[in-house]
Amino acid sequence: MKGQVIFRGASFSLIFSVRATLGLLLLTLLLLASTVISLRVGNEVFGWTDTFLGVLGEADAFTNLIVQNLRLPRILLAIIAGASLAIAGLLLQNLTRVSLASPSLLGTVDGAGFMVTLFLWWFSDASNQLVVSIHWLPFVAFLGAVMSLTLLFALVRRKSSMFRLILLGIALSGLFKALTILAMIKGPISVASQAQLWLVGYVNQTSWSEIQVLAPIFISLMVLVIAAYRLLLVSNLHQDTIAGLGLSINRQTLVLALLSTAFTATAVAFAGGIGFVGLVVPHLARRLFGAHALVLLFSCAVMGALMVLLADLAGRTLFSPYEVPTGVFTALIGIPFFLYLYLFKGR
Amino acid sequence: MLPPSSPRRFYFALIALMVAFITSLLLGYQSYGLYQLVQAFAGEVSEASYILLDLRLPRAILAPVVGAALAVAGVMLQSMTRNPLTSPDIIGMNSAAALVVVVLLTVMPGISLYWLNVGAISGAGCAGLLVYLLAKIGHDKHSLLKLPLLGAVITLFFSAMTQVILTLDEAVLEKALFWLAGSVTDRGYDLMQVGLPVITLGFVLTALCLRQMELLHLDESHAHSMGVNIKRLHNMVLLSVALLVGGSVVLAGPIGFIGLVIPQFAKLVFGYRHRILIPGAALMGALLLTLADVLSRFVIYPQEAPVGVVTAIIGVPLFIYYVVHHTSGEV
Repeated sequence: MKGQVIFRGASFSLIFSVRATLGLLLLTLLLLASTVISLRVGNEVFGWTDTFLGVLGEADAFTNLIVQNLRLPRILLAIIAGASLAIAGLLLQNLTRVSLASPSLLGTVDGAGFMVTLFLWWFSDASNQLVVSIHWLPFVAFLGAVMSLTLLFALVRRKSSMFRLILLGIALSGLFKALTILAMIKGPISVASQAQLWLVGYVNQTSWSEIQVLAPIFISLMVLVIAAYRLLLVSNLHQDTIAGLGLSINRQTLVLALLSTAFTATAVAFAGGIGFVGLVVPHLARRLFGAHALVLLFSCAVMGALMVLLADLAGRTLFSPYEVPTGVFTALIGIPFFLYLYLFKGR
Repeated sequence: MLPPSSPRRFYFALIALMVAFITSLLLGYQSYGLYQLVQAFAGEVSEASYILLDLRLPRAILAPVVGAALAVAGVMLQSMTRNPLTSPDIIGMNSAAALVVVVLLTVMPGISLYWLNVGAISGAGCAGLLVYLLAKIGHDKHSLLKLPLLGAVITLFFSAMTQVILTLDEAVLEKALFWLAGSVTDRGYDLMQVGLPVITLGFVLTALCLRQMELLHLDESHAHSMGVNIKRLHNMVLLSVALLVGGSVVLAGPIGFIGLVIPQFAKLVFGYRHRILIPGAALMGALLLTLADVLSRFVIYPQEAPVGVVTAIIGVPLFIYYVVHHTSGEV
């Protein structure tokens, strides 16, 4: 085929689309460049050599502290959160066949936020220290995400009704927001401020201990989703065709739903309610690279990471010395784009 | 299906509202009996009379007024857009008013309450106009989903902007907190002097075009043949919705879900004729917000919850019920 390169081995064959491969390479380079710039600039701007030495821990103590212990973890968190949110959105859109489905619009993020607030409240002692390990936080967020998605699907009943899915998602997200406010008022004041920060989506104050929790989860989820990428192909087919191919719709649905929820939880556990990544990025990826599932997965991951990273960069440099929450910037980028897509570009 | 619009339902709603009003006076952190209420009204000075007359009476009056304003605004917006899934708060009027207030407080710290109000009302009006215009461009003009979806996104946009300003200027946060979380407690008389006339004006405007409202849902050519200038009517309605919503944001902050669910249930009770529906919805809205205000004192007793939270907790299940049972699922 034109524009494609085919490798054939003894037991496998791979087709690369030249355009997609080049595009992905370009995006990855862009991500790397943004990472380096992100490491360099901020309240304190370092030279190129200092930045590289700082990453390795070879520069002076001050540079080391800022580059290696303050900036690097938050950049990694932004990348993990962005990639996770974008993939979660992709899976959710695939699963529900609703092009507007995304974790933030369907209330999944708010459900996770509610559980996180409860967790912070119930497991704090009198001096506002957590009595259990912070490692439980991603699992609590996962529980909240599962809870809200289950509730939503139970209410919608018919999977592909865009109308109900979106409306009930909006309603549920309102409910969870209200409950979160209640929990914040009822709980100690430190929980309220912590939860408030969480809700608007913040990647600063990230430390290596959080990355240590998240990175293994994220990597194993990526492996899982790549292993299961054929499910994404399948869900483009009609349900009867799927049955005709001898595949179980229920199993496919369950796997996609669990993976999507797990990705959402990974993203929101520490980075909080960063919105619009899961809505906008899959659309953009489809527009740029077409519908090939594996390419879509990778491009979503890279573009999602890029979006959150740039939003974080903007948040901490544009209004310096103030820091604007990352979620605010993803919303400011994502909303006009969404309006454009929705109003002018058909489903 | 047109339910009989018997006056009995009005009387029933009125009596319920009166009961709720008295309950709102009596119950709270410290609860009182009817006897103490009568004594307080008779002019006896005591701790009870202070709490009843100075603390609870203002909010017991404010809650029904704001509730009625929001419900009426909801009915008119739904009729005008021919969409039962819209309401002022859904299309972002509340969040726009909040944004304008925060911007004004940042740019002009010494701004008078009067101008703050004008700002809130014009913010609400502009957001309404924006969503109304956006809904007219692009494809699937007739999808019921369009307005709520656009509204939800616009709301997120406005709150993101508000968030930026609040992060940059923490001093404003304290002053603006008032407008960011809905509540009917501790509203000063100066606020009421500004907010109540605005709402009254909104009600008067509504009453003036009440006779034409029946034709609100018609499109241009049909309305023209009925001898109604539909554009002028739409402008009037949008103006009164902006006044009602702006006024209630000034008085109580953003309170959601009343304008969304009350019109739907008012239609079930009072039918579809606006001359009956609008007063009926006003009564039901007043009732709901008064009850929500009473409940807000007990949900996390001894603390008080913002009344906006309580209306969300009551409103969301009602809305879900409506969507699941009264829409076909495919639009």
